[in-house]
Amino acid sequence: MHKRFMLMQLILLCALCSRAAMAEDWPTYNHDVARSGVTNETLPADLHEVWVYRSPHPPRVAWPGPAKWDGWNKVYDLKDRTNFDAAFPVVVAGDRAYFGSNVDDKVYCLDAATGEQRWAFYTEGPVRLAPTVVDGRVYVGSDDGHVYCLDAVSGELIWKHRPGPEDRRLIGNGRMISAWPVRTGVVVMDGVAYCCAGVFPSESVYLCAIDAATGRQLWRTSMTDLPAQGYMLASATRLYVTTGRDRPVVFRRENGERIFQMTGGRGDGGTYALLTGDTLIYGPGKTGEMFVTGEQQRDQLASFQGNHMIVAGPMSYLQTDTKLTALDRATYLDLHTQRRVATTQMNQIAERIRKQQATIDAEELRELRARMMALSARIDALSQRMNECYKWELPTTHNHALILAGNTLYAGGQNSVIGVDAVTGKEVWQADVDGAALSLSAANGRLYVSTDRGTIHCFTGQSQ
Amino acid sequence: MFFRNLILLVLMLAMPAHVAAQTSGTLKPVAGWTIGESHFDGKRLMPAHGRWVGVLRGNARVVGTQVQAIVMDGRSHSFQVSDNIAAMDLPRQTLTLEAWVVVRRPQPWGGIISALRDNGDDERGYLLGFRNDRFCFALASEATGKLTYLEADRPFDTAKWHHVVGTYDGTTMRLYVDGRLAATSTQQSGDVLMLPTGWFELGAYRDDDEFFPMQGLLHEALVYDGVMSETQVKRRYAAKLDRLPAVETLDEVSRLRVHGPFAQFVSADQVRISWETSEPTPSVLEFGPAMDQMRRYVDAQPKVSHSFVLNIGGVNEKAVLHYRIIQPRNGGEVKTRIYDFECEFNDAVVPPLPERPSPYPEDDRSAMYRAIARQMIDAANFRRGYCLVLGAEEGRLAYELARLSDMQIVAVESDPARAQTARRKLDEAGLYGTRVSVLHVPLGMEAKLPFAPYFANLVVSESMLLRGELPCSSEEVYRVLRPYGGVAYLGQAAWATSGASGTPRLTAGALAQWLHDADVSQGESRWLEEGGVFWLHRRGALPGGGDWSHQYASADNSAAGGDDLVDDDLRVLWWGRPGPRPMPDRGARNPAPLFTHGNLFVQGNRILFGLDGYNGTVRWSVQVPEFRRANLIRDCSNMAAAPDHLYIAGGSRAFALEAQTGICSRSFEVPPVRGAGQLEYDWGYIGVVGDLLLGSSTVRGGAYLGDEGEWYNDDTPGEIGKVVSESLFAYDRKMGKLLWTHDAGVVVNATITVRRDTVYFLETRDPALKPRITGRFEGNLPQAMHLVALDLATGQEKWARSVDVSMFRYMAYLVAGEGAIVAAGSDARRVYHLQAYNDTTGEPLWQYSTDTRKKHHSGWLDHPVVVDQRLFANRHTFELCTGEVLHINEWDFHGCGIMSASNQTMFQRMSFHGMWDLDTGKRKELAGVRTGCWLGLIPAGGMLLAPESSAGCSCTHAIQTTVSFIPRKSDRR
Repeated sequence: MHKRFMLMQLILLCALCSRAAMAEDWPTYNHDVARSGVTNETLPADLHEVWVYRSPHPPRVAWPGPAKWDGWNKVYDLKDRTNFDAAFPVVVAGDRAYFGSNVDDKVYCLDAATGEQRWAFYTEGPVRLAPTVVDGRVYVGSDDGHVYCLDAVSGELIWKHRPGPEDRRLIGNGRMISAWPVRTGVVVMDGVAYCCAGVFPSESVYLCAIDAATGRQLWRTSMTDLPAQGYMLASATRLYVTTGRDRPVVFRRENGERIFQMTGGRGDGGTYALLTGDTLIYGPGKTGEMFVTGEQQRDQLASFQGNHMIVAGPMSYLQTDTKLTALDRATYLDLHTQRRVATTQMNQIAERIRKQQATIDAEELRELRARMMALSARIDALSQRMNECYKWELPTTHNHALILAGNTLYAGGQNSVIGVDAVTGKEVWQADVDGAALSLSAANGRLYVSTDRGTIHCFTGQSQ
Repeated sequence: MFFRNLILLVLMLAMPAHVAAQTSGTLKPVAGWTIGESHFDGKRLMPAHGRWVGVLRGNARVVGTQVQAIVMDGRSHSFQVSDNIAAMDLPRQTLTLEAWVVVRRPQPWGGIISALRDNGDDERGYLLGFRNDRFCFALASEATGKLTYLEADRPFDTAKWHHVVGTYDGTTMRLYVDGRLAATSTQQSGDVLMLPTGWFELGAYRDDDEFFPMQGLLHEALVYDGVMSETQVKRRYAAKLDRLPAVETLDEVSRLRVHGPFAQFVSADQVRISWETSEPTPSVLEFGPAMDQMRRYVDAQPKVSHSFVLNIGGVNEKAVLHYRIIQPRNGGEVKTRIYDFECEFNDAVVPPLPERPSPYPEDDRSAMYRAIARQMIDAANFRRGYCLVLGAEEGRLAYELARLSDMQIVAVESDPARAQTARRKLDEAGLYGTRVSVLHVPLGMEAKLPFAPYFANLVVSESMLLRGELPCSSEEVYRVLRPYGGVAYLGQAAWATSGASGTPRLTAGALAQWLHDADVSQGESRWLEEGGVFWLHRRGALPGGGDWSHQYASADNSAAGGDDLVDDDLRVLWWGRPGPRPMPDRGARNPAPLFTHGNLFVQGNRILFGLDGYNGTVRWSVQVPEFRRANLIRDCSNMAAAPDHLYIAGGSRAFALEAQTGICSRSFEVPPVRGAGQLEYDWGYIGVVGDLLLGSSTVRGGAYLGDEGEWYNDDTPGEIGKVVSESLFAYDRKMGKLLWTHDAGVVVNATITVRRDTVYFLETRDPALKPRITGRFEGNLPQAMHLVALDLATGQEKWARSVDVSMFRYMAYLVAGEGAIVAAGSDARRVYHLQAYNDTTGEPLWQYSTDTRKKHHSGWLDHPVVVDQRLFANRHTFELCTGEVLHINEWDFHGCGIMSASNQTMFQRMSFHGMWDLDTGKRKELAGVRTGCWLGLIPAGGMLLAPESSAGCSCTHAIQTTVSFIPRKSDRR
């Protein structure tokens, strides 16, 4: 056991050390279009608070919380599957930090060093998701139905584009907004900006590609069965759109052609998602699970208890309501597949015994039961080995947000944020914040913490 | 390990029954069930002894930690161990039955362990249970073929745990209560006469035609093949007595005679808690953030209405506060249970205004702006809602309107620079986004406003006020003005032109000319020429828009509100609160939302919402912890609406809540019920017709609450009981005077129907059939039923006709249309029956019975709809007065809800909100959203209103919200 642990520490260390410690931007939500939440940059160990931005009003979410329970299935404490705008997440490019407000409808640019406002731009509706900064331009969507391209330095409008078919505004949860609000953020890749607009499928929901330089629409497709809400993701060839309580949908990036919607069980949708290659991990479902799909597949490969996940090499870090864990994901998924096969076989035999007990002769019945016992033993063994894939576990109530910066995981909790050594699972840093730390960003030597009270805390090292 | 356990379970179930039970000296159970985590998963009660699994009917709570018990509600809860008792191989020569229970409600027949049949001459099996307030042990032997009910010699205590044991040794029956011999009998001898078929049930008395669940707590039930000695009984009693869960205190509201309470935000940091008492008395409120931090508020004056406004500033908006009401009684105190006040349901309050200096100069116009803003708000007469400011200039009028009201201000300005200035100033004032937003929109006589219709409670114009500029066409103004009272206050102030040469002056003639574009005939217009020239218009009703004042549209139960506008080509008009959080679980067949005169009323889980139906503004919400009703398949709703008030039944009263504020302005008491004895009655049916408030009296506890995740779908005892009333009465709702009472029999609540000047219902007049314990007709309706017609004004009987509706098992409805009233019900085989009668004479017109066409998701519970002369039921369309089948729908649809209709379109859940054209049958859906499992889609006021009702659904429907749709034709700009 000790040897195995040492070996694993080594693997972890190698995986983490392969990333350089250079300063990096955090130009979009959760760092990149895969929404990995991972930066190569290692933040200073002696982080301390340098400034705090306090919004006069707390964030005003698009959707209230979920029902208190599922009475039919007796599931309590349902997770919120449409929670994507309960804080003001920060993106960072160079010495500027940007965020949008769903209260006063503005896009803000702050001086990263001091927190002083450099500029603010009024849209005409709540800005629910963080901007994306690419090549000196800020791309942001608004509930007013427009995508805006702003100069990152001056905040001047460069272009704006309305993906929806008309300028129709109505009351949406107490605000005058477009019938086609932009609630997916904006993904910018290869000079093209992608976003969706629309909530109610009966009004059609639009996915469009826009020339990032000019604002000219390149193509637009529509959905009439699902909304688009939560941060959109992208791979080299695909766009992934989260839909709220339902499961994500996948499109071709070149033309917006719909490929498929993820399959799964009832209640396993959500707006949290990340990509590793073309493997999509999403959740939290109704009970706090991360659903892992196969590479370029629509079917679920496995699921893990957790609110958030970080993928780094063969390892995954899972954040549940009560703990942080490090998981040898690759091995786990292999064992999971084997166990699923064995479980299916055992269930088939059990079903046969149940249905045909009266007609099966005693000899065959004994044989079937023996096979079941063997399968059961195998399943138990596989389960044991799967348990061993968890390399460390840190009990903690820091369950709101998780990122990885260098070798350190940062986890947001209620009124507090912690740093955890990704190799050992030991807590190495802690700071107080005002409210639930729902979003974390790490860039250029600073850690930004956004809370449900509309507060943004910036931490940096003593030498910064 | 789990899989190994699974295997063992499979193997165990596959094993032959074993009978060995008794070993020398030690009596071991052959079957036994103990409530505990390791045995009970919420539905299945795994056996602690033997191999028979108990399956819980309904959904009950477990209490206790180390030693646990299940709370039985006395209506739906019991464990079915087997419906084929012969297969259980139960002991017959000697036996012992043992149980730990609390029986909270004495009743004529009660069961703890039930394995009997008591049908006239066919008496078999045995029972450990109770009769009235005494435990009993019943048994029939082969020698007698008759049951002996051995009753304890003293009553049980409804607030204590009791250990009850019945033994039979082949000659003597003994009953022990709490370790003490309570009765013996030698009437039976020889083997027990077992029943060849039937049920083995825990927690209920059950045989072929009777089902009487117990109310109380059950911890354990055991069956032995052998006789437990008195010593063993005493030892077993003593061993567990002190380890059982505490007996929960009973809800004392009824004993207190407290009515309400109501808890309502009056501002962002204040809550008002009010209640009534039956007699003038001092009253005390305890209120606080935790049980050990409750503060007492004493209302020392002896009076019937009590109210406190409490400061909750600084409390987290997710906090749950607690309160209870205390009444002095006989030198001591009696307390209600602890209620929760949930701070997160604060949609009806606006954040407090920030204390910041005005961004506008304090000059000679400041007072003028404030004065005109005040006039506009006073004219609007809306406390909350939306105000549209056309030509907002730099936002000064918008600023004053926001400061003086709770309205959300949508300010429109065509000049981009001015719009930007307005934003900055209003932002500086701390109002931007939270109270005011400024949109850059081109204006002018040809301009089309980008807004969906009807949203504005108040439309004003600053550019017109200052310069007489007409911002857009009057047609556009009218299009966005809210029906039922939206106010346009437009014109030019004299102060804007006085002393300012060159300022254009608006004349009444020019304003009148401008108004030519709009048809304002449905409202009230006034010209104000003091201090300038102004046109003040209050918009009237939307022509063609229907109301939905009762559960099924109107008191006629037609489920069609007569809306002539809503068709199947719909667009979203608005969406908003309430979301799923305050709503009851979707399956419990909850009360429908209501709509009258622009007011939308939504009943959540013990919380009421008053919304503006045209823009979703939550005007008020009131938390009402004692108000809840479910299973409307077998009951009527607890609310009805008039144009000015929402009427809601709770306990023994109905309350009139002002439509605009939710404040209770009057209450009405159930009149005394003849022959009530010790029974107490709650307000059952509620209806409003003109100035009459109709009500009925239902035995307390008869109504369903739906708190346990029930679906009420199957033929389950305790779930299909039809709630009944023992009297029907009418009040003058404005004067509070009782006008008449009808108490000739027992009325089926779900059949009470009013059309024009007549009240119709199904009633039995056999006093022996009064279900005085349960307040429900379990199983089929009785044979002796009448269809009765009363004069609405006087309560005098017009006619009564004997009808045979005894096959109605799952439900019994009555709906009325022009010329016919129709009874609907489905029988045990799920055959759907319709019986139509002449609405003037009661003569039978036609009847029709056919298999339920939709065989899943409650298809057999379908509630009919009447649109003009067409009756829609069970996917058939009938000619109402002849019964001619006009059409049969062949298609299937998924959902569990029922139908509602406008004059053109039928609405019902399919996968999503669904609809079909009444004439063509063409179907459509509004993807992404679904409704609940009863009536959640109401076409009214020119809209399809769909308050959130899918709460708790695990399904992947992407959106859970309240949403309103309008016909595309109404949205044309």
